[in-house]
Amino acid sequence: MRNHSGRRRRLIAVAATLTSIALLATGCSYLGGDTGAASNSKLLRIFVHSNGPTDAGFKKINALFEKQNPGVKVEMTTAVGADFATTRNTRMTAKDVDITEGSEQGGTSQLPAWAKDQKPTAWVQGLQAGNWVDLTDQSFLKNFSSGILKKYEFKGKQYAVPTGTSHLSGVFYNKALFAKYNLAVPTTWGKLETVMKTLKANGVAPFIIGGKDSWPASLPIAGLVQSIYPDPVALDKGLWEGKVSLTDPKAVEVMDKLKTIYANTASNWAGMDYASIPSRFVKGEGAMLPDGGWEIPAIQTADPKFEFGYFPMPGSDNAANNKYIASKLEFSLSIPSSSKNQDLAKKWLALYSDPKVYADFIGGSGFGPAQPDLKLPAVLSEIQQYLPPSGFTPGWDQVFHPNTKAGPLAMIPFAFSSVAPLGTETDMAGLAQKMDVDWKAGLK
Amino acid sequence: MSASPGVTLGAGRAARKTSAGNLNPFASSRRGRILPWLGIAPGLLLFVVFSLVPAVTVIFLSFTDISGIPGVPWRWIGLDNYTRFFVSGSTTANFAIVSRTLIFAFSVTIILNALALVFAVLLNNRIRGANIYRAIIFMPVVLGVTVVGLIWSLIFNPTGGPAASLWGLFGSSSAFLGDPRLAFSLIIFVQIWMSLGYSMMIYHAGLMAIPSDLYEAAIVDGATVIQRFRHVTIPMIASSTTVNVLISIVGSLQTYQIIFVLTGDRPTTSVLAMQIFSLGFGGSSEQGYAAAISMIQFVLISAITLVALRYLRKKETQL
Repeated sequence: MRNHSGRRRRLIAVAATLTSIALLATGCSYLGGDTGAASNSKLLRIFVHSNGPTDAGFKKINALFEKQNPGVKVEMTTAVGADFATTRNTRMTAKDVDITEGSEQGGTSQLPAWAKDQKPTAWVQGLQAGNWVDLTDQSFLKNFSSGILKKYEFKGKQYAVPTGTSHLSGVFYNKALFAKYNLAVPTTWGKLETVMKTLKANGVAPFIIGGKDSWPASLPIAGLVQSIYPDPVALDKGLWEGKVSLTDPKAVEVMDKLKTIYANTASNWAGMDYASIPSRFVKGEGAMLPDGGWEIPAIQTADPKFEFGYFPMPGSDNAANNKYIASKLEFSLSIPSSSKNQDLAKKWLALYSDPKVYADFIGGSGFGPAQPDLKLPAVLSEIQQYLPPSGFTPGWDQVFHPNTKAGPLAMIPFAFSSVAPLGTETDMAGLAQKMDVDWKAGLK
Repeated sequence: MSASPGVTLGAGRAARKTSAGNLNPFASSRRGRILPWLGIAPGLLLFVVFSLVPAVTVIFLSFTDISGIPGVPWRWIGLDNYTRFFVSGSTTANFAIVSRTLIFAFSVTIILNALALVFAVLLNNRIRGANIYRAIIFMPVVLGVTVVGLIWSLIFNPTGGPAASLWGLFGSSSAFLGDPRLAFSLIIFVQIWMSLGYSMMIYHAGLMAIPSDLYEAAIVDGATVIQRFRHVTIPMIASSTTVNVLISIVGSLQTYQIIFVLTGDRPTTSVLAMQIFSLGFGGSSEQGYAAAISMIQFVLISAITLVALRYLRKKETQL
């Protein structure tokens, strides 16, 4: 009896050991990253950050690509923003991705001479390490505006296919509410104050912002800096060289105006999550929404009949300083050098770059186009009047070079998250002084 | 049936070794000595490869500027990462984060253990439906961080959420998780709510093991309910208290998940573990610096845990 149970125990132990070894072997073979489909070049793996409108656009292109290339399967996977970079790095190391985002934003932004002891962006570091396939000779790149392509160039070569630009320093407004209270689009700070007063007097919250996610509350900064500092590059250089102080009247003006905007935003906005903002905006919970152009599809989805416009944040009392909306270069698509399907990946990028296919992608994405002469949706066409002749002016966050040695209040000036009700600061001159101390600590 | 002299000799040697402290009864033969090692080899291998090597590697990486970007070379930068934490523009903010981490850990540990003990004692009495109440209190443990985060985000929705409606009854309103003065307290509350069932079950197991004779003797001696709790229950569950307190301290010093889900990485709610996650995996590509902060966190957790363990063990023997 004892022998029998002992044998049974041994059998269970052997079975458990064999199962463990089998599981380990399966795991290791998966880590090898080679599936049967991949080895015969029939599986194209695309990995991008999760974003409803662009995901939908890519899925349409994938379906078309599979139709045009029988036997090819496109596997598109996504990751949310915070997880994207780590997952991409891991998958590139595992040779498990054929097309992914190279530059996440801002193009190929090189460090200027004044930003000392800082590392370039992850994209530039990757280019220096030879992580990306050279696409310079690909004919499909000719479909894109040369001005935009120039901003992605690295040592005279192209490694990225642009997706577009995002306008980020503007303000969406509810046309019906503006008409109801006889309000015109404000072109100066004074006129914006009048609009805020009128709306408030009629029980309408002038602004709505998704403060719970914190970063959406930084968007008014882009417009205010754009208006108050006509040359943001000079501001970045001046800060690094110690010639511009964050206690200067202009810096305090930015903070004071930001405080005014926050004070005129719907009650308890600091607890509202960003995802709920489009539906709140179309319901009239706030008449204006400082946000980026990427939000257009979400607003349209929340209410397809809702009428809205987009104007530059008028941060200055001089209308000439408020006439442009700043933008950022959106993420680009690139082929990792580790990809085993580079030809197939180039074929997919060629299809994506086809003006007809790209126009459809741009129409649904809310991005400004990276190709010339495209027929744009009505909202985007309306925005064209606020763009400079070059078609693009970079926002403050695209121009500024953060100092990793600086304190947290000056990591990305200006310290929006410290301003009440997101933070606890109500004295903007005092906050500006703290920002200045934090910034200068990084220059020592 | 007589055993051969060899077998008798071997058995005697084994018995001697066993009595001398060797726990392996088969240590007399070579095969007997090797077999246990073969048995634990798979587990040991997994532990070494997936725990020990990464842990030691983190110490090494904390002295480098590794970014995690494939193919990008990293450099040995000595103590730069540690200097950046302790002596840089961010020093004040970093100490605020350390102090917030400690506030979080101690608040959670003290309140959680007090509540868990109260619920365990209350439900240990012959209350009708005690099992159902215990299951309800344990439920958040099963739900997991993301679901708990979602539930409380909806409850604390500043417009139309149940908490907002309740606030409204008193003519007040709040941004709840968006309010810098309130958010951190709410996170502590949710963490306690989420962990209460687990701690309560450990206390419950401890209470179940107390012999009823002790209470009967105390009643005969005329002890009141509070005296019985103080002089019978507390000493008898001392080991459960030690386990619970240590689990709470270590767990709460490492927590970032519930903070990430409820408020994200904000200056007013960030803790050390949150910083490590954001810097190492949040797209910052500063894995060397994140490794240095994780070493600081490791030292902090080790020091607090050792002091707590020593104190609790001493208390256990005193009781």
